[in-house]
Amino acid sequence: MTVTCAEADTALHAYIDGELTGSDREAYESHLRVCDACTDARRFQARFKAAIRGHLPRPALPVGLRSRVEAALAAAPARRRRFPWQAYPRVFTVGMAVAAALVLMVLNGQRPTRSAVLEQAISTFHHDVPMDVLSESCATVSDWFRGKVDFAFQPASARAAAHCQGGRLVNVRDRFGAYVVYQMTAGHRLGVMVVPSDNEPLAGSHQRLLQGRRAFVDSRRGVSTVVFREPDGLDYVFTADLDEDALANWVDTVYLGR
Amino acid sequence: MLFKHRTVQADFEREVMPHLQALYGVALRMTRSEGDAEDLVQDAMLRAYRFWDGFEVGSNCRAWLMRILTNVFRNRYRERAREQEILGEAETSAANLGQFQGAAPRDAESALFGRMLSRDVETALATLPPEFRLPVILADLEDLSYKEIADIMECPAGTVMSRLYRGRRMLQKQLSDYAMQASQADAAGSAAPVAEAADEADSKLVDFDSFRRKKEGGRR
Repeated sequence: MTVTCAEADTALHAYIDGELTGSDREAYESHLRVCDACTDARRFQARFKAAIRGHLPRPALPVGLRSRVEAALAAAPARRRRFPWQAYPRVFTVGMAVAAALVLMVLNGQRPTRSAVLEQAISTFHHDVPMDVLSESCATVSDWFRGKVDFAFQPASARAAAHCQGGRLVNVRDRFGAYVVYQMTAGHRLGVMVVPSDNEPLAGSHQRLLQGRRAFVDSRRGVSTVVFREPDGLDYVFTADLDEDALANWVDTVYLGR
Repeated sequence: MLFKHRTVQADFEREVMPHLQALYGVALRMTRSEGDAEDLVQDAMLRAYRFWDGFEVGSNCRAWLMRILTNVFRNRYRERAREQEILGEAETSAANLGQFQGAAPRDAESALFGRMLSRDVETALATLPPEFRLPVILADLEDLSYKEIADIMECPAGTVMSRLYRGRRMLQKQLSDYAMQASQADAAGSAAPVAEAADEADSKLVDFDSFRRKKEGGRR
C-alpha cells in the first residue's frame, strides 16, 4: 500500500513520540524511504523536540520545599496499610500472561531492523536508571568497570568540561557494555555508552566526520544521539538533552579533541 | 498505630519523593509563579498521600502524581483557567498559525536552532494556552506516553495528538519569530523567513484514524 504525504504528516508526531507501532510504523517508514520532503519534516520535528527538551531542563527544587512537604505529610492523618493484592492488582492477574509473552519474545528472537546499541542507549538515557556506582570522580567510575567489561574503559576526565556522576553495566543482547552519566554545564545530562560491536550497521539521520571518525547524528524521542565505531571494535553512543549540533560539536572538540 | 503510620509514610515517601523535582517543574511551568508552584506541589502531595491506596505499585508513579497535580491545578485555578481559555481561543485561531508544515527551509532552520535561547523557549512555552502547554510539557519534557497524558488530561488520545500538534506549531512559530527578530537586529538580516509553507495546514486536523483506515483499506 502507499501512504501519501498528507497521511504521513498525520503520523509524524506520533512517530517522533515513539507512539507509532507495528504496521503503522512500517507504513510510515516505507514512505520515508521514498520521500525526501517527509524525511526532512521528520528530522526537523525530531530535532525540534530534542531542542525544546535541551533548552528546558527541570528547574531546581526551591530550598525548603522538600522539608515543607515532609512536615505536611507527617502532620497528615495516618494511612491504612495495604495488602499486596491491593497494591499490585494487575501483577496478580496478568503476571502469568506477561511471563508467557516474555518467553515467546525470547523464542521468536529479535529482528535486527534498528540499531540495538542505539535503542538501548536512548532508553537507558530516558529512564534515568539507577547507577551501579555513584561518584563524581571519573577515575573511581573507571576503576569500578575493571574486570566487569572485556575492554579497558576510560571515561573522559575533568578536562572534558563535564563531570562524572556515575556508571552502570548495560547489556545489549549478549554483550556487556559500560554506561557513564555526566553532568554538563547548565544542567544538561550526557550519557556515554561503550559496547563491543557486533558489526550491525549504525544509524542516524545524517553523518559527520568527528576527528576522522564517521559518526551518525540524530534526534529521537527528545534525545540527541551521536554514534561511531572505533577501529578497536567498540561502539560509542553519546546521548544528551542538547541540540544535536551542540552534542556533535562537543564530542568533536571536547571529548575526542583532547 | 503510630508504627504503622510511619511505615506507610515511609513507603509513600520512598516512592513519591524522587518525583518532587519533576512535579515542581511542571507546576512552575503551568502556574508561572514560584509561590503558586510550591503551594500546588504541597497540595498535590497531600492529596496523593490521602489517595495512596489508589496507586498501583509498579505502574508509572510520576504519571500518577502528574494526574493529581493537574487535578489540583484545574480545581484551584478554575477561575483563572476560564479567563485563559477565552484568551486561548483567540491565540489559537487559524489566522495566527501557519508555519512549519513540516520542515523549514534549511537556512531558516539553522537560524532557528542556532539562535534558540533557553530564555526564549521558556517565554514561548509560557505564551501557549494551558490546554496546549500541558501536553507539550508532559510529552516533550516529561516523556510521558499519549495514554498517560490522556489519563492526566481526561481526554481521548486523539485529542492529545491534535493538541500536541498545534502546541508544537505555536511554539515553532513563536521561536521562528524570535529568530527572525534577532537576525534583523543583527542588521545583516539575511535569514530567510522561516515560514512560507502552508496556511492550509490549519484547516487540516491531525486525523490519524484516517491514516489507519486508508492503510487498512489499501491492504485489502
